[in-house]
Amino acid sequence: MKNSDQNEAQWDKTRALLKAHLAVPPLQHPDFINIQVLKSIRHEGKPRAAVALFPLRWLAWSGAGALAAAVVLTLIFLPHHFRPRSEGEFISQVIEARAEMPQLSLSSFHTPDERGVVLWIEGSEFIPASEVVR
Amino acid sequence: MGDDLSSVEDTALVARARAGDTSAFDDLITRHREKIYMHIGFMVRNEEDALDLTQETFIRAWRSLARFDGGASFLSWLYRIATNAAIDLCRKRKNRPQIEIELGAMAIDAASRTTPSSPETPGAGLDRVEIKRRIEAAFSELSPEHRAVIVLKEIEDCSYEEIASRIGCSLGTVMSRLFYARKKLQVLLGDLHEEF
Amino acid sequence: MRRAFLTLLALAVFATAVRADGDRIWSALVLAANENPERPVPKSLADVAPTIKKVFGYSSLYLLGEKKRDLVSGGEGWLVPSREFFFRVQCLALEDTFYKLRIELYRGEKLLLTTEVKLAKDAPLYIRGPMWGEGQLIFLFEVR
Repeated sequence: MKNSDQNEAQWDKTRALLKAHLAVPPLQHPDFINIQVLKSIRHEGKPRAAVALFPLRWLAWSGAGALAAAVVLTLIFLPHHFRPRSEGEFISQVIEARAEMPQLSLSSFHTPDERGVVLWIEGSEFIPASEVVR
Repeated sequence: MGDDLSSVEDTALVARARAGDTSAFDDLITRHREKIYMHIGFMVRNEEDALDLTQETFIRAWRSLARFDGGASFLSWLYRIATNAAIDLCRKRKNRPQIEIELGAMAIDAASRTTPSSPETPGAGLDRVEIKRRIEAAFSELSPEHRAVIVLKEIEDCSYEEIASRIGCSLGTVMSRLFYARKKLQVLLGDLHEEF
Repeated sequence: MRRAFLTLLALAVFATAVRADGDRIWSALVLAANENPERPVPKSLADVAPTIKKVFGYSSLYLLGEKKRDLVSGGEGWLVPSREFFFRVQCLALEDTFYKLRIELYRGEKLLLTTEVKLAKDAPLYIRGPMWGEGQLIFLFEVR
């Protein structure tokens, strides 16, 4: 995990190369796609087992309700002595990691909340369910 | 804001298409065909295949409309279908690079903690065509799954969450694949940096 | 037998370390699997469950074992949340907001991994372990 700034800078250059050279020719005659697809689906008729959009609307209202409840609960229970933390103050980090077996490889990244850290091991052998690991 | 609006309109069009309205589906195709074509094109690196798979993506989408639950946006759902179709094709044809690159001296150390350092610069004097050829060859060396994350992250600038949604895997898998794909591309293309 | 002896010896060393700095390190062995319906999250995994589900993509979590130890600057010792997998933890330094630790992950007598980490309080380290049966083993460390 050392030299991460240097690696990032190197990767920026590679990214720029990819963007500059991995071009795709523009879509010629785009309506041709519509014609071909519609020709095909008109043979098939209506999509099977279409369902109403009620669940979607229901989910949206549930989500909005849950969000409102979360805001209210947060305001009620937020401790008054809450102190803003400076950025990066309480973040875990993998400084260095080494696999001791050649078939293992490692990568590391932060969790979505940016505080925790994940060390991702690939290549470790599968353990049959019959073996006890507890 | 624009995305939200288009997503809202998508929902209405999807509802009509589900009821069998092909003109609504026609509108959905028109709205998304360019993005889907470009995404597939980046992955399969062949114009004819990209066209075929774009059509195939929309046909599969029509057949599966009943299973689209609205949890993700319609476009994300289309991307997932397109990505799977492109991965399937790449696996079938197992396309190897046209130009073989000597990897022996640049093998990736599985336990490496840093991105491998670049070799000497044999690329000195490479012209633009040669650089493009090298990049195409390096990209072809990636597995289809690794290509998908590179295209989505580095070319289409998607967030990790969007990529996970568009590929249909966990955030950790996205990050892990991205890590390995970047490492491999660095090894294969590191010597081009000074040329660029 | 040898493993058990080593473990006991290390635990004894760890237990007699000089001074506790107040915090404890918690480690757990978790099995993550996809089950329908989802099973309730074990109480001690409540804080980490959303992250595990999001990052690793599983719906149900089983707590296979957990252990806590005091964190002592300069101290080292074993954490044995399961018979099969266990850890040697060395506290390299205590800074203002984090502990610097060296962690070795063992399976039986086999050393799988060595890592040096900065662990901030309540900001866990998740290690993706091997697959076991239908699920994924995950090792957790958190300063609490």
